[in-house]
Amino acid sequence: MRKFLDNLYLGSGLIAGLFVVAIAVLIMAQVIGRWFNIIVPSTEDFSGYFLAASSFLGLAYTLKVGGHIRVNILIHNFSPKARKVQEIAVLVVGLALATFMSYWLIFMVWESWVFDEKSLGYVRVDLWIPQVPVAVGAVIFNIAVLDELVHTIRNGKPTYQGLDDEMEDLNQLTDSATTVEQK
Amino acid sequence: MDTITIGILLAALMLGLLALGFWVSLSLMLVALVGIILYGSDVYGLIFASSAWSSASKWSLTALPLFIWMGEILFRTRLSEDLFKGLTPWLSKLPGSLLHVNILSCGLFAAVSGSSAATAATIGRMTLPELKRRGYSERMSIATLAGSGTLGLLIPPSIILIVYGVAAEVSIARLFIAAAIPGLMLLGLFMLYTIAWSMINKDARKIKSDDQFTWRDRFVALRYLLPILGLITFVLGSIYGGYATTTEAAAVGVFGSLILAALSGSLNRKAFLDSLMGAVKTSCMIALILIAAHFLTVAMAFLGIPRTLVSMIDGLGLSPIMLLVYLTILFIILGCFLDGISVVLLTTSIILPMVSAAGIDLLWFGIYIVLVVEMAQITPPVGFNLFVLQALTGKNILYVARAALPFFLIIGLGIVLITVFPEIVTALPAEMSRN
Amino acid sequence: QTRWDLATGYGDGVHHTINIKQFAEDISNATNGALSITVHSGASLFPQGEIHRAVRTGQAQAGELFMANMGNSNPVFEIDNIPFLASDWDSARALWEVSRPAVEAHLASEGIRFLFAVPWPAQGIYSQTPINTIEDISGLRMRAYSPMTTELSMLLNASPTTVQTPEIPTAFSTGMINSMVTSPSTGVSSQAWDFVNHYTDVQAWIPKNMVFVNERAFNRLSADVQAAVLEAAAAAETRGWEMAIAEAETATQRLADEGMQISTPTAELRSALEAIGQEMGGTWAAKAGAEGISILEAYYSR
Ligand code: NA
Ligand code: NA
Repeated sequence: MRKFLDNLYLGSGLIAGLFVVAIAVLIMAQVIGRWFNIIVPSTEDFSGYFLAASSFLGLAYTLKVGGHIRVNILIHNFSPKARKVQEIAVLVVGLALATFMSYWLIFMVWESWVFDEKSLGYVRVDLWIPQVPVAVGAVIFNIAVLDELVHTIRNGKPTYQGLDDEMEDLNQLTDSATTVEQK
Repeated sequence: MDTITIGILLAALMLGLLALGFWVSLSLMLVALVGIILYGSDVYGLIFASSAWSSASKWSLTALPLFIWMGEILFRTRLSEDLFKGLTPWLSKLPGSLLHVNILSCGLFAAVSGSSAATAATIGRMTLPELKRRGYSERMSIATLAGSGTLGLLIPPSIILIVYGVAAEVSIARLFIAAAIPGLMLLGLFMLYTIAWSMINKDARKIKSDDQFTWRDRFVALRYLLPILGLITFVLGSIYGGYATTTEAAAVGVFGSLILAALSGSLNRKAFLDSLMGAVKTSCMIALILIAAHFLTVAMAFLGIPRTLVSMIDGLGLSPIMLLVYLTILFIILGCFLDGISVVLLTTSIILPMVSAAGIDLLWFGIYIVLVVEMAQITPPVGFNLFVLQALTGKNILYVARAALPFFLIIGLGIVLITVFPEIVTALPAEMSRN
Repeated sequence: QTRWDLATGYGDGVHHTINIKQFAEDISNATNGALSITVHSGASLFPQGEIHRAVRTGQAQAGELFMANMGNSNPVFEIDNIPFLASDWDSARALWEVSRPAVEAHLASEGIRFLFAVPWPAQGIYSQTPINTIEDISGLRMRAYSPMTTELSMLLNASPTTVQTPEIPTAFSTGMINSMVTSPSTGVSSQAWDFVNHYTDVQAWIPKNMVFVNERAFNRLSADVQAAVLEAAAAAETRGWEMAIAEAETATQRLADEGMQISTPTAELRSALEAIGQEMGGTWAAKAGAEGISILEAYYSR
C-alpha cells in the first residue's frame, strides 16, 4: 500500500512533467510550422489543456516534496505537542478543501459530458476529455492529503514538515545575516 | 452585513489561516469560498470548478512553467558560473559588485518574459546559489532579486500592460514604448541603492575582490558571457524577428537552453529529469496559488469590495494629486491580499472614468498602475515574488518581504518621480506620434 | 429586490457594453429597483470561454457572448460569420430574422433564454500594402482567430497565422502578420494606425454579440418584472443596431483621421471575394445540415 501510494504520487508528478514537455514541443511545432506555412491548429487551446493537466497532476507530488508554501514563522515557535495539533488541524481543513475540489471537478467533467460542451477554437474538442486529467489530479491530491493526515496522527508530524521550510536553520541564517550586517 | 465588514472579515480570516501555517493556496481558496457563500450564491461549487478550469487552462500562463523549467535547465549547466566569471572583472570595482548581476540579469530577462514571477524564478535559480557560494549577504541577494524581478512587468513585453491596454483602450504598442524609460530608471535606482547599501555596509566591502583587473582581462572575460548572450539573442531574435509571439518565446527559451546544456555536456538523462521535476514542483505550487487567487478574484467581483472602495474615493471629490495618493494607498492595501493583475481587472472599469474625469493621461496612468502592481508583488501575505523566493531559498515570506522592503520603497519613489516628471513616461510615445 | 450579475468579456468602451449598461439601467428604472443588474465588463467576473456555461448553470444569471463562439456546438451560431453572405445592414437584419428562431431554440434546449443580439460593424481588411485585386492578398500573412478566418485566408491564398488579440500590435510590428480581418471599431480600440496603413472596407460579414439569461432565474421573477426585462431587451436590440451603424461610420472616420488609407473594394475584387463567399457558404451548409439549409433558403427567398 505504502509503495503503491508513493508510486502514485511520483508517477502522476512525472506525467505532469511530461505535459510540460508537451507544451514546449507543441509551441515549438507552431513556431517552426509558421516558417513553412504549416498551421498547427488550436495550439493555444491544447497548450492550455496541457497546462491544466500538468498543474493538477503535479499537486500531490508537490505536496510530498514540500513545494506548497506556507507561512511558518508563528508555528515554528509552537511546542512539539501544539505543533502536532496545528498540523492535524491544517490537514483536516486541507482534507475538507481537497475533497471539495475533487468533488466539484469530477462534477464538472460529468456536466461537460452531459452538456456536450465544445471548445471554442479551430479544432472542436469535447471539453470533458481535457478536463479528466484535472479531476484525476485533484483526486490524487485528495488521497495524498488524507495519507498525510493519517501519517501525522500516527507519527506526530507530516512527511513534508522540514522539507517545506528550512525553519530549523532559518533562525541561524537570519542571526548570522543580521550579525554580519551589524559587524 | 455590509461590503466593508465582509471585506475586513475575509482579510482577518486570511491572516489567521496563514498565521496558523495553512498553505497559501488553500488559504486563498477557503477565503474565496467563504466570500462567495456570504454573497449568497448557492452554486459555489460550480463557480469554483469553472474558475479553476478557466484559470488553469489559460494559454497565456503556459509561459510560466516553461520559463521556470528554463531556469532549472540553466542552473544545471556551467552557465551561471560563467555569467559570474564574465562579469566579475567588470563589476569588481563597483560597490556591491556581483549583486548587480541580479539586477542586470533581471532587467535583461524582463525583455523576454512578461511576468514578474517567471523573471525572479528563472534568474534566481541561476544566481542565488552562486552568490551564496561567493559569500554575498543572502538577505541582500534575495532583496535585489525580489525587487528587480518585478521589472518583468514593466519592461516590455508585459502581461499587465496588455491587460490594461485592452481595458483602457490605450495602444499596447505605445504602452510598451512608454514603459522603456521608467523601466531603465527603476533599474538605475535599484543599482544606486545597492551601491549605497554596499558602501555603508562593512560586510559588503569585505567581499569586494582584491584582484586587480586590467582592461585586457575584462575583454577576455567577455567570452564567458557568449553562451548566455547567445541564448538571450536567440530568444529576443525570435520575438523581434517575427518568428514567435512573446508567449511562445518561453518555448524557444527552453529549446535554446536544452541546446546550450547539450553543447556544454551537462545534459544527461538525470539532469533532464531533475530539471523537469524541479519545474513541476515550483510551477505547480504557483499554479495552485493562481487558481485560488482567481477564485478569490471571482468572489471579489461578486462581492464588489474593490468596486465599493474605489467609489468611496470617488465620492470624496479629490484633486488629481490627492486622487493619486488615495488610489496608491488603496492599491497597496488591496495588493497585499490580491494578485496585482486581479486588482487591475477588478477596478479598471470604475477607476478609468474617474481618472479621465480628473484629467489624468490614460497612457501615463497605465505605467503608474504597473508600478503599483510591481509593489504588490513584494508585499505580504500575497506577493508572487515572495512565493517564488520562498520556494527557491526556503526563507519565510515575511523574511523575504522584509528584505525586499527597500525595493518596495524605491518603486514608490519611482511613482513620485513619474508624477513630478510625467515626461519620463510620455516623452517617447510623443516622439512616436511625431513621426 | 432581486440582484443579478451579468458577465461580459468586452471592455467598457465597446458599444455593446455601453448598450448593456443602458439595458440594466432601463430595467432598474422600469421596475423601481425590483431587479438590479450588475454588469461585470472586461472579463472581470468570467472569461469569454466560461460565460455560456456560467449562465447555463446559474453561476451568473445573465451573460453576453460573441455568437460565433458557439459555432462548435451548433453551426447556426456562426451563420453571421460566412463571408460576403450578408454584408450590408439590411441583409444582416434579414439573415438575423431567419436565423433567430434556431438560435433561441438551441439556447432554450439548454435552459437559457435568449434576450437580444447586437451586431459589430462590418469586417474589413487591414493591411500594410494596398489591396486592389485579389492577387494583392495572396501571400500575405493574415491573422486567423477562428475556423472561419482560417478557411477564408486559405481560400485567399494568404498564410493564416494564429495570433491572440493582445499580441496583435507586436505581431504586426515584428512582421509575423501583415494583414487581418476585423471591424473598424476593433481597429480603433486597438489603435491600428500605430502598426498598419491600409483599411479596405470589403464589408466581409457582420458578426453579432448576444445577451442571454438563465431560464430558471428568469422564471423566478414576478410577471411584471419579466415583462420589463423583455421590453428592455427589445429596446436594447433596436438601440444596439443603431449604435452599431453609427459606430461603423465614426470608427471608419477615425481610422481616416488618424492617417490610414481607407478604400472601398474595386468591382473586380468584390466579385472575386463573393465567389469565395459562395464557396464558404456551401461548406457551412454541408456542416449545418437540413436546418442550416432551410435557413439559407429562407434568407435567399426573402
Ligand atoms: Na517584461
Ligand atoms: Na502583495
